[in-house]
Amino acid sequence: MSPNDPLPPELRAAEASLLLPGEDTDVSRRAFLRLTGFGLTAGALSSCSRAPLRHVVPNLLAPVGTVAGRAYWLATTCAGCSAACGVLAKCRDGRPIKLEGNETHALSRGGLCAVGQAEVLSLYDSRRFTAPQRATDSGGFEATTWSEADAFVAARLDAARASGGAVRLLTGSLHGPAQQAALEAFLEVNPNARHVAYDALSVSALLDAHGLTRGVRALPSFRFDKAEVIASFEADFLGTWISPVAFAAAYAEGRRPDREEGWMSRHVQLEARVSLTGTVADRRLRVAPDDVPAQLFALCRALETRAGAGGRLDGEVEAAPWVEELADELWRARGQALVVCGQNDLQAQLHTAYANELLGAYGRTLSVARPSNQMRGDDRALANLRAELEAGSVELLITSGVNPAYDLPPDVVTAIERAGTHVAHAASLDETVGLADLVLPRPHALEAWGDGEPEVGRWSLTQPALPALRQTRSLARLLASWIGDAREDYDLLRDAWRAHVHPRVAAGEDFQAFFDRALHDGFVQEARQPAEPAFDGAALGAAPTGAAAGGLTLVLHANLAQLDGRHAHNPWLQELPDPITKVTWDNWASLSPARAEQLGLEDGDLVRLVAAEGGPELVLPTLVQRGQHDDVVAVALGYGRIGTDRFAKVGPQWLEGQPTIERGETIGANAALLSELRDGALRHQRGGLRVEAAGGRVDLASTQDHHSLEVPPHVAPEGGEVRNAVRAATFADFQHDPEHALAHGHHLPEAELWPDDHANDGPRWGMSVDLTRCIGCSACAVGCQAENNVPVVGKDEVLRHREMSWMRIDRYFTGGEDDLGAAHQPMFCQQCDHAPCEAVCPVLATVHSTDGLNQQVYNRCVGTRYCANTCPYKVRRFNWFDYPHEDELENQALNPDVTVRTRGVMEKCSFCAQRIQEARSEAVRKGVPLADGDIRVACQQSCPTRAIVFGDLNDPESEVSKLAHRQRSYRVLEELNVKPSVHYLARITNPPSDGHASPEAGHHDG
Amino acid sequence: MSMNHVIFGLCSLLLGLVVVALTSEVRLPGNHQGYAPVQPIEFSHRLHAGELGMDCLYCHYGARSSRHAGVPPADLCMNCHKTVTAGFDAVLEERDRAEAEGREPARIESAELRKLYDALGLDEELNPRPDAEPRPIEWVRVHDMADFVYFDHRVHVARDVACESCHGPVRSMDRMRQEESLSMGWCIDCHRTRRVSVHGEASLEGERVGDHVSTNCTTCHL
Repeated sequence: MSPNDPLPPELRAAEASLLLPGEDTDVSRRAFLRLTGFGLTAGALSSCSRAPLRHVVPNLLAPVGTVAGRAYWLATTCAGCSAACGVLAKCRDGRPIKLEGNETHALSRGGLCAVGQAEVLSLYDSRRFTAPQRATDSGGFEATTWSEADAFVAARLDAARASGGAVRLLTGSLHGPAQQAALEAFLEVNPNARHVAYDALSVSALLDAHGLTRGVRALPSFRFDKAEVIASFEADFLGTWISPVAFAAAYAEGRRPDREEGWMSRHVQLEARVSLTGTVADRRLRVAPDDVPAQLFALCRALETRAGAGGRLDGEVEAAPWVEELADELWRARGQALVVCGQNDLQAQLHTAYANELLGAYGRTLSVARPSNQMRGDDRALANLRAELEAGSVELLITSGVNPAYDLPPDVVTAIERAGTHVAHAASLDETVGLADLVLPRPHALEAWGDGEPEVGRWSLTQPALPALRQTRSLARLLASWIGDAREDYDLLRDAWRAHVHPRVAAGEDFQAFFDRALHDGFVQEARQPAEPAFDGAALGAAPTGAAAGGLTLVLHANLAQLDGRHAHNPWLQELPDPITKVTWDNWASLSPARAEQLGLEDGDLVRLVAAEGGPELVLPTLVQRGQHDDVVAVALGYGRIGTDRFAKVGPQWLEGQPTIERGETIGANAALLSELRDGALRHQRGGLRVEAAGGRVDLASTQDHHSLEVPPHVAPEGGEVRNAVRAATFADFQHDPEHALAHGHHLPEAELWPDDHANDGPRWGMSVDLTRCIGCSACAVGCQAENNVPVVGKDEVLRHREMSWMRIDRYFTGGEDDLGAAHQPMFCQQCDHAPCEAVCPVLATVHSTDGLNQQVYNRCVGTRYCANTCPYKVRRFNWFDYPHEDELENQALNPDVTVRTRGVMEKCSFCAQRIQEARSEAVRKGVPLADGDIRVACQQSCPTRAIVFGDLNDPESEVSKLAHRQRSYRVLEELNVKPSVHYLARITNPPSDGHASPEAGHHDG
Repeated sequence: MSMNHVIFGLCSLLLGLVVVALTSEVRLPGNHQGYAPVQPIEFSHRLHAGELGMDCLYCHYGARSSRHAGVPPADLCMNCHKTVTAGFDAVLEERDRAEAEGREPARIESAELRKLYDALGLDEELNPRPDAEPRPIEWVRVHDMADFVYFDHRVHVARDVACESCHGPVRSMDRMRQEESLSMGWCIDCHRTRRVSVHGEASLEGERVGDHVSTNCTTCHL
C-alpha cells in the first residue's frame, strides 16, 4: 500500500466533512497522524495511570486487644426468638459480621438456627428508628428527644399513680435477672401497674397444665436426648416449637445408627399439616387436629391399663387404631419415653402431662424441677387485659418488643386502640407502633447489655458487639429510668448479677472474677439440682368433647424463617426456601391433594378462607401438600407485615424484571387475623372454615424443581438408570445386614483421570453429611449466605431459577399420603477430584488445588457458563447482574474475607476457602501443625445436629475420614466417576416393626 | 474500507504504541510501581526505620497477627513523641542558642509533629484541649492491592520473609514509595522459587520444609 493511495469515496466524504473549508485533504498523511496520535495517547494514558487516591485512616487510640483485620469473638445471647441460644459474635474492626453457636452453651450446644444466623443482618437494618417518635395529629410521627419522651411517660405514670388508673406493660417472655429486677422494682413503685407477657406462638396451655398438675405454672424443660421413644402430637419441636436448636441438638443424640455407636430413638409424629419435624419422624401419622385431645385421652387410658393405675379419667372416647400400638411402644420405653403436644389446648396438655407422668418421664425426659423460661406467656392474663382495654380502664399501655397489633386476633387489636395512652418500645415501624402515641427505640441485642435465664438456674449474658447505632434504650433501662433510677444497662446488669446469680453459682469467688468469666463464657449455671414437684391429678377427668364444627379446620403454624413475623424485614429469611415446599417470598394455603382436587384447585390458584361469616377473610395462593390431612387448611403465620414493600426493589433492576412486591402491598398475608383468643388460650386452630376459589392465580416462587439431579425424561437414555441421590434403610434392616440394606447396585468405575499431575500428598479437604441427622432446618443455608456474601435476588429472579444460594437443601419425599416422610439433603459443590467443570473451562477459571479444592477464580472467569452446564450436581451459580449493594449500613454485614462478586462471573461453594486459609495462616503464625477440627466451615458450625463434618480425607485419624469409611457412607452420583469429596451417610429411620413406613429413596418432585 | 487501509491503520497504531514504549516506562493498567504520594504528615521512614533503626513491627504490629500490617494508631506515635517534640538538629540548635544567650532552652515543636498533636486534640503542653475535636489522620494508601487479592502479612512475617522483599529499601525512603509492581506475576515468581521455611520446628500438615510455597489460587483469591 502506498501512502498516496486515495481513500475510498465514502470515507473521503466523511473525512471532508470534518475539515475546515480550504484545508488540505491529503488524507493518507492525516490518517497516519491521527492513528499514530491515537496510539500515542492510548499508550501514554495506560502507562501514566495513577493509583486512585485511597486513604487509610487508623485509629487515634488503639482499642485494647484488637488488631485491624483480625477477627475477635464475643460471647453473647441470640435474641432472634425467646429461646436465648448462646452465640459467639465474630467481630472485625469494631463490628459484628457473623454469628455462630457457642459450643460451651449447655442448651444450644453450638448450633444456631436460620433465624439466629440472620440476626446480624437485622442489626444493620437501616429502617430502625434513630430517635424517639411522637405521634402527630395528622396521624404521622415526628422525631423527639429522649428527655421529652421521658417527661411524657413520667407525666402519664404520675397521673396514673395519683388516680389509681391502670398501667399495663405488655411484653413477650422476659427472663434474665437484670430485666426481672428492673421489672419488679418498677411494679413496686407503681402498684397500679401490672405486667402481662404473651407469646405470639403461645404454649400457655402447656404452662397452665403444669400449674394444675404440679402446682407451679411452668414450662417443662425437655430432654430429647434421654428419650428412646418420642411421640409428638403436632409439636414441630425441630422447626419452630419453643427452642428448636436445643431440641434438635438433643434429638440428634438419639440418631446414631452405626454399629460403632449403635442405638436409635424412635420418633412418632402425629399431625395434620406436614411439619419439618413430621418429615424426619420414623413414623408420621395423619390425625385431625380436633381429634388430638381425644386421642391423647385414649392414650392415657391405654397407659393407665398398662400401669395398673386408674380412676383419674372419666368418660369414653373413640380411640384411633394406632393408640394401642403407640401405648405399647411408649410403655416398653417407660422412663425413657416422652410425649409432647404442640396444641395450645388445656385438655390436650393435661393429658400429655398425665401420659408423661404414667410413663415416669418427669425427672428423666422432661422436668419441671428446673423449668424453662423460654416461653412464659399467659393467655389468661392476656384475655384479662383485653377485657380491661375493652372497658376503657387502661390509662397507660406500654408495649415492649412485641407486635400485638399484628400477631394477635383482631378483637385484641381493636381493644388496644382504646388504651388511654399507648407507648410502644420497638425497633422499627410496625403495626403496633402505628397505634402508639409515643415510640421509644429499642436496641438490637448485638448493641446492648442484657441477660437471660432460658432455664431456671442457667444464665446467659448479652454484651454489645459494637457501640449503639441508634439512640436506643433497653427495657430494663427504661423501667429503671421511669422510677428515677439513673443506672445504665451495664450497672443494672452487674448489680442484678451480684445479687441474684453470683451467690448461686460462685458464692466463694470474687465477684469481678466471676463476672469476667461469665462474660467470657457467655453462660453460667448453678450446680444445685432441685427436686421434681409432686403430681396432682385432680384436674384430670372428663373426656374431651370433640368440637366438630363442620367444614374444614384451619391450622395456623409458625414458619421456620419468619416465626411470628418479627423477621419479616430480613431479606435472607424471606428468600430462604421453606424446608417442605421450598417456596420463597410468600405464604400460602396448603391443602391435601384429595381436598384440592375436590375443590378444583391447583398450585397458585387464589383461595378465599372465611373463618366466620362477616369476619376477616384471607386470600392466599393454594399449595397442594401431600401427606396433609384432608380436612385441614394450613397457613403460615408471620407474613403480611407492614412495610415489606421495601423489598419492591430487592434484587436486580432490569428491563424485564418484575418487582418482588408491588408498592403498598405486603409479602404474603397476615394469618393471625383468623386466630382467636378464646377460653383462656390463643387459638391458632379453628373449625368451620369455608374455602372458596377467589379467582386468579399467582406464581409461587418455589425452588423445588430447580437444579434437579434427575435426568430429564426427554434426554434420558433408553432404560436409563434412576439416580438415587438419597440412600435409605430402616434401622432394623441396617443392623441385620448393612451391606444389603444399602445396596446400590452400581458398578463403580475406577479409572483415574489425572494419574500423575494431581499429586495430593498434603491435606485433601472433604466433608461428610449425615442424612440421618439432617433435619432440613436450613441453618446451614443462611449461615453460608452470611459467611460468603451470597446476594438476595428477589422473587422474580427466583422464579427464573436464578437464586444464588451456594447451599440448597434438596427435599425428597418418601412414603405415601398416610406415612409421608422426607429426606433432606444439603447439596453444594462436591469438590470433585475429576471435576467436569474444570475440564470445560476455556480460561482456567476453575482449577484444582493441591489440597483437593475445586477453586473458582472470580477474577479470571469470563462467564461462559460451560461449567454450570456440565456440573452434575447443579451447584454453580452465575452472577447475571451486579446485585444491589447500595445500602451502606447493610453492607456492614458483608464478610471482608470474601470477594463480592460482580456481574458475569460464576460462583459456588468454596468449602469456605477463606476459613481454610485463616486456619492455615494461624497455624503458621503459631508454628503448630494444623489439627483436625481447626477448620470449621460455616455450614458445619451452624448445624444444630452436627450432621456436617469437615476435615482432611488424607488423614486417617480425622473425624471426616472415619465417617467416610462408615458402612453408611456413599457419594452422590459416584457412578459418574467424578470422585466427589463430599460423603453422605445414608438415611436410617427407625419405624415400628409393622413395616408401615418403610422408607425408600424418594424423588425430586412435588 | 479496503484491507490495505485496515493494515495501514493498525501499523500506525502500533507505531504510536512503540514510540510510547521506547520513550517512557510502560506498565499494565493497575500497576502503580513507583507511586509515592504526598502524605498529610511528612513522616520519614528513613529517619525512623533507617537512622533510628526501629523495628518495622514496632509500628506495623498488625503484620504479626493479622492480614493487614496496619498503619499505627496515633497514640502509638505518642509513646515517643510525647517527649520527642522536634528533630534532633532543631533541639541542638536551640540548646546552643540558649547557651549563647544564657537562658534555659525553650521547648520546641516541629510543624509536622504539631499535625499529629492536632489530630489527637493536644495543646502546647500536650494536654487534651477540651474544645478540640480529635480527628484521625488520613494517610494516603501506597500499597493498594486489588480487592480480589487477599494478601496475608502474618504468614510472610512468620516465615521470615523480610519486609524489604516486597516493600523495597524502606530504610532509605523519606517518603514511602511503592518499589515493586505487586503484580500477580511478581508474587508468583517468589512463590515458585522460594521454599517453605517454617517458623519453629513444626510444619503444616502435609507440608515439609523445602516444599514450594503454595501457588493455589485460593492462597490469595477468596
